[in-house]
Amino acid sequence: MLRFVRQFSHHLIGYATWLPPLIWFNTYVAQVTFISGPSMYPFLNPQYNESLKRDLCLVYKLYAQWNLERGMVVTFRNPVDPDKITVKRIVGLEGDVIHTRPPYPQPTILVPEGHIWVEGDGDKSKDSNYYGPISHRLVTGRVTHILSPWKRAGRVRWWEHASSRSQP
Amino acid sequence: MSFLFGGLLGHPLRTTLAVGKFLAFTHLFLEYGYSTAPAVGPSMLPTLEILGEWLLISRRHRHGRNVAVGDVVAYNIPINDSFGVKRVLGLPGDYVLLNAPGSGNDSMIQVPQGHCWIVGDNLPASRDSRMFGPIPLALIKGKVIGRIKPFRFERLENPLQTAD
Amino acid sequence: MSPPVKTFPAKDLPSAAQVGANGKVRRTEDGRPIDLARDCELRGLVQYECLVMQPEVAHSPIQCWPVQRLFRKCQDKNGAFTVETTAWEGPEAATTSTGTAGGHAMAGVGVGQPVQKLEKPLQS
Repeated sequence: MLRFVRQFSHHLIGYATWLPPLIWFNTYVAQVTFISGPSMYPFLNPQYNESLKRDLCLVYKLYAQWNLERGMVVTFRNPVDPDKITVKRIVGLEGDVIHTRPPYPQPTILVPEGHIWVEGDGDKSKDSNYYGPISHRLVTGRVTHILSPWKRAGRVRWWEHASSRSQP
Repeated sequence: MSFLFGGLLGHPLRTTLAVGKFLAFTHLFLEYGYSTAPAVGPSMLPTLEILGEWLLISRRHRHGRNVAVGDVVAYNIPINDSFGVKRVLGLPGDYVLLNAPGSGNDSMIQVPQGHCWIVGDNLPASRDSRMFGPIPLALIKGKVIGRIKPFRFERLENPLQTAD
Repeated sequence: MSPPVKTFPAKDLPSAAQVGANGKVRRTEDGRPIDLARDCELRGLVQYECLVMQPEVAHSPIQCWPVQRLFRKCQDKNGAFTVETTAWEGPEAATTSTGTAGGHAMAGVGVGQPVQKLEKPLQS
């Protein structure tokens, strides 16, 4: 019995030492995560109102704040709630003039230095039209692949989604 | 020789893994526990000197957790890729002056949800919320709890917490 | 850059302080509106205007003039919040805006004489 306990705890500690590398990898290199909510409908979660199934995505985190482009689907810390991670598409980069949507108070805005303009694909989206341009420092990762469901699995072809609403 | 090869050096993979695990653990501790960082610049005079400051930062206060008005924080500057050190003057729902006192402009704002208002102690030399507006709490890396001096440690007190 | 925010003059502080960041009206524990002068504790924080006497030298002497900022710590049903009252009840309030509470101006504060002088020996 004693031997079993000793062996068991030995294995437990052995597995526990893998936790830091795992967390580190998930935070700084890549993470597989479920996307919830309709804000990226119909690109992600096209069946959000029919089932509880959520899309499983690969989020690439290495150098996530560098070389951002219009059309990319990014994860970022929500400017209104720092403990929430949000997924949106980049519509404008710094220096772009954006034609905003309600409820943003001004019809157009110049995206300031170091900031990006993000929007959801769906209409049920609380995005930059609600909280304004966001700092690129809030970006935590890029959604690069859809892993599940199988039907839509594959690379996220963000470059096909360049918006017509921003002018460099 | 045979002992060396049979033991530690004989398992380069095992050694690499152990080192990797240790590095990951250390990195997580510096990211979520406590870290140190140098502070350079005149913006926090006279609380912090221009040169030669080394700060102890509590990363447990990251994203503004348990940060109070009057605390000094390290934050990611929203408009470039470096980090800064400033004093928090307003948290979500608080009311702050948009400019420095004595600027002749008494406009005020309410700090929006999820944001904070940060201003350097040396008002004329600081680029802070007066320039780029309220910053998201998510950009706060941690609270500066003290300065590390050769052979001693000086705690930074919050002037609004201690009764006068 | 951040969510669009409205600015207001310091003299409107008593009415502006009645609404939280979430848009909800603030109430004290016993259901009254917030009275800044009565319900909130006055605290002070000093910031500075510093002059580096010889910017070209490392460890130049530095002279700092204090800038007093006033804050009031208030409590409503949902927790604590802080209101900067420098421009409302500070020494400059009377000159820049009218009809403030007054009577709370702290004696001898504001931009004045250099009280703190950090002197470091010049490095040769």
